[in-house]
Amino acid sequence: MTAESEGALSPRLRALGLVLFVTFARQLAAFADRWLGEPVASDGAFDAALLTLVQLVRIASIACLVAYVLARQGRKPGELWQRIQPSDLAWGLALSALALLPFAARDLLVYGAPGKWLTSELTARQLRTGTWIGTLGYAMLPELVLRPYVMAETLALGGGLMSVGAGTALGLAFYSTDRLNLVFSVTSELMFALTYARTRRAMPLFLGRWGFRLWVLLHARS
Amino acid sequence: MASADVSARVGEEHADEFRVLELGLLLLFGFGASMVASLYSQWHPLHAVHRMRESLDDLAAALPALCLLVYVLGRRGLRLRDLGLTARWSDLVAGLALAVIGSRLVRPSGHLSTSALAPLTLVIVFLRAAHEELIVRAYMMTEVAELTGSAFLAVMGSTCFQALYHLYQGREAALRAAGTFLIFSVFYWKTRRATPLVLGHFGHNLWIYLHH
Repeated sequence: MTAESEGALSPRLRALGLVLFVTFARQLAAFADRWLGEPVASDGAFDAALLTLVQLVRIASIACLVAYVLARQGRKPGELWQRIQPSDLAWGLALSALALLPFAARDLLVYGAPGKWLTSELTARQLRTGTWIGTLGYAMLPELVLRPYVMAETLALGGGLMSVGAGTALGLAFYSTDRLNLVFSVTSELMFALTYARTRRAMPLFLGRWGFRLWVLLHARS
Repeated sequence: MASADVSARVGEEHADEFRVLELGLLLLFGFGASMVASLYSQWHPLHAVHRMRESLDDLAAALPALCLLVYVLGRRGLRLRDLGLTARWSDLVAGLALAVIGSRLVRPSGHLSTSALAPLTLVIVFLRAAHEELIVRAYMMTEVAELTGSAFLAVMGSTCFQALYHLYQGREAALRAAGTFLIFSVFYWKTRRATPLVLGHFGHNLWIYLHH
């Protein structure tokens, strides 16, 4: 590594820290709220339409911030993805199925049988307009923007292993989990991180996550 | 060529574009959600706004935006000091004067009570004041003035933008608040000092908070 490129790492590290901090500031605040024993500020008190709008603004701001820090470094957001290809759909479907597998294994290990979310009949009961938008946002920001960005930056800063670790940790932080599901969530997120590390394609991640979420919603009973 | 050089060259070539982009990004980032909620409240009454605004959630909104401001300024080799954030004894006096002027325009309805005073509350109220004054007043006014060359646009842009995201308080209250914002904007235009604004806004908000 040359002295010049070492000097260039510092702004990248600063930008990465900033993006992570602004992305997870609300989670940190909610954690601190709970730790202090304060009642957690709840968006649930707002109506669903406003909540969706506010979340869209937050998603857009973080996406714009990533685009901005890249532009400031003379880079383009497009370099985080490869061009959209027809095979993305197949990759996405495969990733959805793979990401669901750890949770199917959990059910078999813990309950002795696959859960209703896997075996029940499909129902569109949960699929309202707001839910559609929500599932898109749920998949877009982390899979099209954050994971590719964080993995690309950590690859440049610390190498492949660190990049996969950071991609997995990002997924875990974004899609919060509980202790029971931790091992299975790590496995699931690792699959997403490994897919990006192997292909450098973000669209399969997005389709995989979206398919994963849709599957759960299509089996939701209430 | 090292990426630092590329970055510097890109920054120089597109300096004005970046300034507009940075201003938009900071306003979207710091106030986008508040603006949406405020405009939304004009058609759908909101009852939970105050609950959201008295929690650590405020820190989660204010701190990242301030960090982004520091980052954006840093990319141009500037610091908060360049926006007028200084530490002088006269800032206290000017801040107190601004707080008093603001309190005369917006009168709280409840009785004065110190029961809500807690260190965390003070930190939250202070950071909210710094968030608004440093971004919407000092930074926005500086950028609008330098990009357009118009002091009028800078003062009115800042005042109107701030009033818009206070619409959730009701149109009359937002209009009264706009009077305070206008005085603060003119003060900044004349003095280029941000610390008295932060202190004045903090004192003003604390005064209202103590009457809740």
